[in-house]
Amino acid sequence: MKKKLLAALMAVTLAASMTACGAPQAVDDDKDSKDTAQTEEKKEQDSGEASEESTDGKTTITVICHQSRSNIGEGGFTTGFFGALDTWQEEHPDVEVKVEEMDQTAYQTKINSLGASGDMPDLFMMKGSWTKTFVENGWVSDITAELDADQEWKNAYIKGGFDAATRDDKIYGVPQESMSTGMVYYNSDMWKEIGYETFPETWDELLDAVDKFKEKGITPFVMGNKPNWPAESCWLSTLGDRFTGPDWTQSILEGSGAKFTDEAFVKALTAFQELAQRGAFNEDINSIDDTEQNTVYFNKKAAAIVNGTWFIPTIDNSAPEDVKAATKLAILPSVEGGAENQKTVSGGPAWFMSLSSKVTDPAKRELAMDLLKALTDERQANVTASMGGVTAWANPEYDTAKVPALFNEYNAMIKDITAVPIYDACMDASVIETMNVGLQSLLIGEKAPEELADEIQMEQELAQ
Amino acid sequence: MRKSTLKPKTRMAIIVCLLPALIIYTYVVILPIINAFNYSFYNWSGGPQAKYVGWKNYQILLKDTSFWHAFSNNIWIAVLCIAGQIGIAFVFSALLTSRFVRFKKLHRVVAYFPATISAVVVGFTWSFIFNYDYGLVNVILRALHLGNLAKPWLDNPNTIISVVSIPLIWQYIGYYMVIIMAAMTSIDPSIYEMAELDGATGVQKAVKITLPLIKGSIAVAVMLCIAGNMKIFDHIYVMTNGGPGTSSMVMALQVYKTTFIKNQFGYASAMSIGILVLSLGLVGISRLIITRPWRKESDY
Repeated sequence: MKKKLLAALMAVTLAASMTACGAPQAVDDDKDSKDTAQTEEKKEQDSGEASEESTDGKTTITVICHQSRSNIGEGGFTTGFFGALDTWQEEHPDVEVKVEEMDQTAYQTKINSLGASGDMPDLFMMKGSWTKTFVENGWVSDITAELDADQEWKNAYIKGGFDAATRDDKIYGVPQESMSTGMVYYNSDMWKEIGYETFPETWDELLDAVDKFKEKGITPFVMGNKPNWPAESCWLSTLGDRFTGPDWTQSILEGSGAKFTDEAFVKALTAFQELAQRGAFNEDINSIDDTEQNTVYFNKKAAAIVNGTWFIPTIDNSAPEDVKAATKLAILPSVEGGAENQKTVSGGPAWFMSLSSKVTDPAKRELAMDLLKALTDERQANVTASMGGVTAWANPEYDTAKVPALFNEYNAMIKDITAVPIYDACMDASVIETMNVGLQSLLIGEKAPEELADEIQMEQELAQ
Repeated sequence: MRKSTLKPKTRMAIIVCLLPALIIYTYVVILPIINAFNYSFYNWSGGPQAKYVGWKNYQILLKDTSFWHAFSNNIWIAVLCIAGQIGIAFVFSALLTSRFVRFKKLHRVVAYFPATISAVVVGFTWSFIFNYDYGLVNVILRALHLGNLAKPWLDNPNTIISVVSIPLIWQYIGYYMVIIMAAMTSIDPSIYEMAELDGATGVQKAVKITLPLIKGSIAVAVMLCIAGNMKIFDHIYVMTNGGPGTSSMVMALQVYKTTFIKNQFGYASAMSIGILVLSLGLVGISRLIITRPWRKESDY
């Protein structure tokens, strides 16, 4: 009896394991690849037919995005994105567009698991730093041919707009928003009280201002670094460049010699830590997030905040009138003994609209590309810009009288400022994670700059 | 095991009834573990290409200080939770089974209530309570003119493990209270009566009578507590995201980050298997310490 029970058990386990293991093809060896390719092809045809014929012969295009309809009217890009999407849907009643919305943190997890399980939606948003992994894993489609065939579309973006989504001269995504991540937003009234008519232009002046604010019991800069990217994306990407210059960053990206342990980068980390130890930031820097930090600035508990251009519409919509009127824009001050060009700010497109490699049917691909174009060209950009959002589309049309005042100020000042790479938009994701986590410790004095530089460099070597 | 006296027919019925659960369990627990074990031998970033690397992931894991740091955090949290959850639950149960407390049912419901709330909600609520500017803790301290004691509670890497353990302890006291109370009510009241006649105090009764008599249930509670704390994730993810730096990083969160942020699916699988082995080991050790199978019957 016991034996029979065991046999029955084993049979069940075996059956279950066979059905379950049939699905993931992730670890198949080369010898099986032919079979797999065939079955996959078959599967795709099946699923393609099934989805296309399911609802009255309608074609279905699935889209996944880190935007939410509830933010329409508040965020510039969100409004432009959904506006363009809805218009396209109206023009194509025979196509069913299925959109999945979520926040950015959840999106990151979701898109990777969808990719790993082979369920990538037709259109998705890809972060520049994911390009390497996504291309190597074959999750994203090469769209160079379509872009080349439509030069007018391709050339309408800002210079270098496609860079982060390009690999081996093949383009894998179209830029959506452009952004400067390291702008200084300061409350000019508060800075006047300590004797600064404008934002400090040198690092020493900045340190002096920090001391003066501390005496008055005001936090000079508020940072909500709990999600751990603000310190790197908004501060270090620009501050690092002040010391290293863009050639170093380029060399890191190409893997041609530069190291994170280089003196210039360590200097940047040291300066950042000194600024923190001088008392430049709020005490709860690692336990509030990037939304809570805004509230502190709005309540005049902090004199300045370093944030991306996405903050412009937020100030316009949410800040109290006096704070809104007093807020001015600046860039981080220059440092001594640093790079040649000190008038830089980290910026450029970080997110791209991409096409899944699973869209193989030519007719469907054409439709999906048409939707992708609608979501990235002037149909989206004009609305985004009218709300005060910075677009990757070079010349959006909007009414300068109706946009937030800060947006016009930004556009005027950015002409003389060079954009340098945003670290987390182009560097390897595992390097960025090590950097982000380490910066939390660095800013509270738990880790020495050299130690952090070593850790990042180790991760960089592992990644290559 | 007792030699069964069940009829073959009854046996068959039992097997048939167990089968669906067994199949589901195999599909959602056993197979993923086998799969993870398989993936752990590959250098895999989630795509179609996976490079076989043998035991290399495990070699890296053994030397990965961040993983062992996370493991030590897990151990710390487990120790704090065993002391906090089971200790407080024991005191509460002793009070609630005694004659001196009124509204026993109300107390029981209130104490169990937190265990029914989702971990994410608990995490959010407590991160508000610990907030530096507006948090309940600091507001109370300032109201009592103890403003200099007000701290950014979630920002100090030296105390963060104790701070994040508080919500965990708070949430599960009720859960262990139910287990311990059930054991306590099964103790024959005449034992207490005799002890009282001999002049035993309340504390003496609790320590010398109750505790030894419910040892079995305490053992189960300790085991559940260790197993639960090895897979703790949501509270920490919501409250600190493992920060500041990695000072509140726990193993499950590290696996999550390695998988979905660093895209190292293969290495993360090796980590998961590591967690499985460590948890099983710890639970086994705790069983051994409590049951002490090497002691002879006569020692008791």
